[in-house]
Amino acid sequence: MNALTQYIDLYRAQQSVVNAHAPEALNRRRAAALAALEGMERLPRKGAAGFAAVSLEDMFAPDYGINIARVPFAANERAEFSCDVPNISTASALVVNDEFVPTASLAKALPEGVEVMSLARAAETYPELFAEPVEPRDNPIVALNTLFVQDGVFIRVKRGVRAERPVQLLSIFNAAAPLMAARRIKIIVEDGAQASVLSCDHPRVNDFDYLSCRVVEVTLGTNARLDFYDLEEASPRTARASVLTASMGTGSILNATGIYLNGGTTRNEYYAPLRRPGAQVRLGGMVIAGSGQRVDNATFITHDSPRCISRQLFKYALFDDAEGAFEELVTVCPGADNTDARQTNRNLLASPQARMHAEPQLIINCDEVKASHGATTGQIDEKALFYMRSRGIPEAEARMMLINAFMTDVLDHIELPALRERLRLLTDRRLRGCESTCRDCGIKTERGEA
Amino acid sequence: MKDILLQVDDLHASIGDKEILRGINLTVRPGEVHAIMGPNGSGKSTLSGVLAGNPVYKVTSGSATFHGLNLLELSPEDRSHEGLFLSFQYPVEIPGVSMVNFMRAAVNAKRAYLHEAPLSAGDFLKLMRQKRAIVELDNKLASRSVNEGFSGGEKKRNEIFQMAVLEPRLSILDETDSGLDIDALRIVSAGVNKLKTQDNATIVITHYQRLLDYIKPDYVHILYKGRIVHSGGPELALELEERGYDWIKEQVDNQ
Repeated sequence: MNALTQYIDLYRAQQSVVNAHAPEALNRRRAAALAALEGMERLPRKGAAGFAAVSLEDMFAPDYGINIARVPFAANERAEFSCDVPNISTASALVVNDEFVPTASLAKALPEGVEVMSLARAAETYPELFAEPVEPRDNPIVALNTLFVQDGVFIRVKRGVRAERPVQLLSIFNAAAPLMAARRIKIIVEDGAQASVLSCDHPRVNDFDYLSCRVVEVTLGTNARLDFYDLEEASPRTARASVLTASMGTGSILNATGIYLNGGTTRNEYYAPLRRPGAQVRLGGMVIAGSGQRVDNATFITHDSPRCISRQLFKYALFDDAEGAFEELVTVCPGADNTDARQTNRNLLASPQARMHAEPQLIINCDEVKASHGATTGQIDEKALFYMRSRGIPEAEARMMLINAFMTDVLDHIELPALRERLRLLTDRRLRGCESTCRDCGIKTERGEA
Repeated sequence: MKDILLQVDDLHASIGDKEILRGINLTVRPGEVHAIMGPNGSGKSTLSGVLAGNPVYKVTSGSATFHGLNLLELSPEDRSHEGLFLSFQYPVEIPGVSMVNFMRAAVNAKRAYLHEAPLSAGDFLKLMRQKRAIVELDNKLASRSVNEGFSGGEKKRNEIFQMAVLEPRLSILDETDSGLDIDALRIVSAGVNKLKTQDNATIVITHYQRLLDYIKPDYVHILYKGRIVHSGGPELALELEERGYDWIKEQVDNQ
């Protein structure tokens, strides 16, 4: 039995249980997702087209449980969950496995016109916002997520509202057995509105093998803007298959920065079709991976309207036997005049065993286009290293400073100064090989205080 | 012997399979300024690189003792902590590492080596201000990445600034005059002269005599084909300026 049939069989056997614990607006989509999955032979393996470093088949193969009956986990009800990025915002919420858990202060912290709530509740309250299926429908991660999604996070920023403070989401696993969670984050920024969201995936102590099958669904109205910061600092036993998919309005802006500091095997896919004039998408990615870690970012940007801008900057620093991949496909359709598409991928291999696969692709079917892409993979600059050592800076420190410097422009794109500084610190700490300690930030849950 | 700062005996070194230094002997005492001159390709930069511990060079035989320590056994960083400084012929640009962070790391690494507490932010900035004045280095360069976008003169002044901060016992200036106009040369030389004491020493490596008008040597050595083939006083530099290197080459090649 391959990994795919395992999930298909589980769903067929447990369909009524899944649906009984989820709102109709989510249940309605499952039949089509099932059909999409049944149409696939298997999940892509490593080496399949577009899967240079990561095998979805292997990621989904272990015998994970899924908490479809939504059994409340007794453990850690009063636990204080902590985050490495403290004091960025009081508008914060937890995602425990796939379940939305608001913090005590969340409701008070939200300005007028900003909603942050359970996805299940939102699907009941606003079923009309769930009328459209998540694209791309035939994507295995999207289809698997759609098959099992029961909760998650819903964020909506009303027309014209500029949310000053970011919304912070902290996702953790909490289960005394291997678990797969179908996480869904749905973000709607209406016309002329602005928001920033910081999502942190963090580990728990004494964890088991976990898999996050995640979909981030972004809808941007005309001239809307979303800054989405996606920090992965999870346990090496937590795998992640994630799709960020965006529907972009005229003149809208999506800035999405993914930062991988720790975790298990991760695949992040980004879909940003630019179908309305003047839309802009800026994708940033930073990966620091070490022993046994596999990180794959795949981006799909389609310029299908005039005057759209896409920017991509992905940087990897790979240590030990880490393996990374960056696969990107930018397509410029006929009529997408004055497209401006730039992609940069730079990678640093800090060990002879580390491997990087870079596959930049640019398909241009239009004349009025500015487009460029570049990918380089290299080692630490030995001349710079010796220069620093000759000034007394110890070799390990000098290496760390050079890798930090290499990453600096990805972090420069982060517009929240407090977050930028915090991420610099976390990067620094990661490079120093320290395990993260989260003592300085505690988020108390509503239930925890009840 | 206790007065000897650097003692180099029969030092041989190669890069790849190619032997470049073929038996260097050199003795430097505190308070002295030595000039090492020689035609292109004679091994001048290799000598400075080997003394500073550049891993691209391999020492095949011979010894180098630095105030009683086996210099060749020390890492480049420990050589620096023990008081050796190399001013690079081509200072390296390090995008993304600011001068301030670079110098703080260097200063505090040395203090850690000497079992001293790190400098406070205030004391560090004061030190930077003080030392910048020695070579008239613009404050705005401090916030920039190391050597990135610096002019040729700024790079060399930056080298001497770092030397001023680290207060070495022995400074090796590798072609510090190359790429400098006359004003920058004057500022850089004045900086070096200000840092000179009875307890430290300087090795000036240069192709031309010009620099030695500003930094007066006590001894001049001529390096050719990986050996010091001639040593003398300051007058030797003037003779080289007048007669070029050909007479030396002939003398050696005809032996």
